[in-house]
Amino acid sequence: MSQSRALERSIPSIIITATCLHLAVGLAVLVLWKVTGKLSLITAFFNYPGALFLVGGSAAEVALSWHCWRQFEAGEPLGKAWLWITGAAACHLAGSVMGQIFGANSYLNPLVYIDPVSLRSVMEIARKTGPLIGGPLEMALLARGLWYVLGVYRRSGLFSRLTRADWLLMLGLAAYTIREAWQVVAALQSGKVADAFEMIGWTSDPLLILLLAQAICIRRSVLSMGWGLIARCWGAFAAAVALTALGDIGLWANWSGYLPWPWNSITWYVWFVAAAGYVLGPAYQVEAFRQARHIVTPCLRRAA
Amino acid sequence: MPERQRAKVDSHVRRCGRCRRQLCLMESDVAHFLELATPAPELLGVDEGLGNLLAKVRERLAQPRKTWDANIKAGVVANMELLFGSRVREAMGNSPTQPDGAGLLSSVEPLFTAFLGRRTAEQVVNRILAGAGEAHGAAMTSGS
Repeated sequence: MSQSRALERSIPSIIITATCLHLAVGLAVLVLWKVTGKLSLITAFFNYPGALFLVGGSAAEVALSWHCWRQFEAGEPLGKAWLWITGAAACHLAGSVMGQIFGANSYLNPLVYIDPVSLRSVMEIARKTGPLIGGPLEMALLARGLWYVLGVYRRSGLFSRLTRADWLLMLGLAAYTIREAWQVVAALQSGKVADAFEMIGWTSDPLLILLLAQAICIRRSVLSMGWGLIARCWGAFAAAVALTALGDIGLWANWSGYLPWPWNSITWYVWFVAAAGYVLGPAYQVEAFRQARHIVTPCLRRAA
Repeated sequence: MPERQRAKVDSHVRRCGRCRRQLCLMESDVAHFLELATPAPELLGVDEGLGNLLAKVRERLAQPRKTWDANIKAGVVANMELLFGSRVREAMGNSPTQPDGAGLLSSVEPLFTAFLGRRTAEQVVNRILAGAGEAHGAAMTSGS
């Protein structure tokens, strides 16, 4: 067996192992920070390994999604889904690069070496545009892609009916969105002036709720199928969306003072797991293509 | 067959799952027939060889297509479990109204096409058929 094939075989396991290692290091750094009191430790972790993990993960997401899209012919519904998902992954990558590299005052930022004078202004622009490209824009493209996926599930007869618990979860999430919208309206009424970046950013919560509703439908169908490679692919996307929502709710709870130390630190790490989920989705689909083409069926084994 | 007609048939067989399966089945039979039709001439006389051949052909024709169907089903179930999950496999394996091997393959081919694309689905179906054909041929040879 060639080395490249052995490597290809384990793409999902490489992603899972890398995420576990990264989280273990991150938690060790968190403990070290609390023990020694050196803030630079935790800042360095998020500025360097953390940033590289998020950018590297989204780059892998683009490459794998692109590969998945290329496996379908023009006009195939899941091909369309993968095209939208590749677009969403590209936005995720652009958002990560802007937020983690150009928006950070670290040695990973090339402007530190090239143009230190304009560093601060570029950082500000990157910090404003990054979350929009990697937020509402990415979510809108992903929602369109997942819409096609749900259509394929429905036409294939694999779409499962939602349970009461699913509906309750959706109602809870809708209540959270309405509460957030209410807070925005209250802030505007009390004289808050919002710029265009901020206003576009407000669309991220309703989009996230739409994505979560799709994720719940996909999760229900995946559970009724068992855990095959294709089921894992869409299950990973559903988990990634749910974790993004969890991170978002965590941030809100943190700002509102509902999440005291040390529980609020969970919200810092949940983004790494969500990022891993977005990469695992296409990774499992790539694995499904590979296994489907090279699988040795029991009949072949017996004949051999 | 004229070249043009032959090209048309080839093109149809490439696209039509049912005809491809029939062709695969026929090729498997022909291969087996040719295998039976080559007795060792230095050991057997023509009449004896022909008699032996006819006996084997009759024996072969009398055998049900159960092995073939079972091999197709095993291939379909293995692929379904790997790609879609154990519950889909269970639902298919335990269905009392399960069709024969070729029918089952026809019924799951759209599922493979929907989730893996036309090209990969074709490869999966061809591999299942090839696997079933080889296993069938091996069983026939060992039985004869």
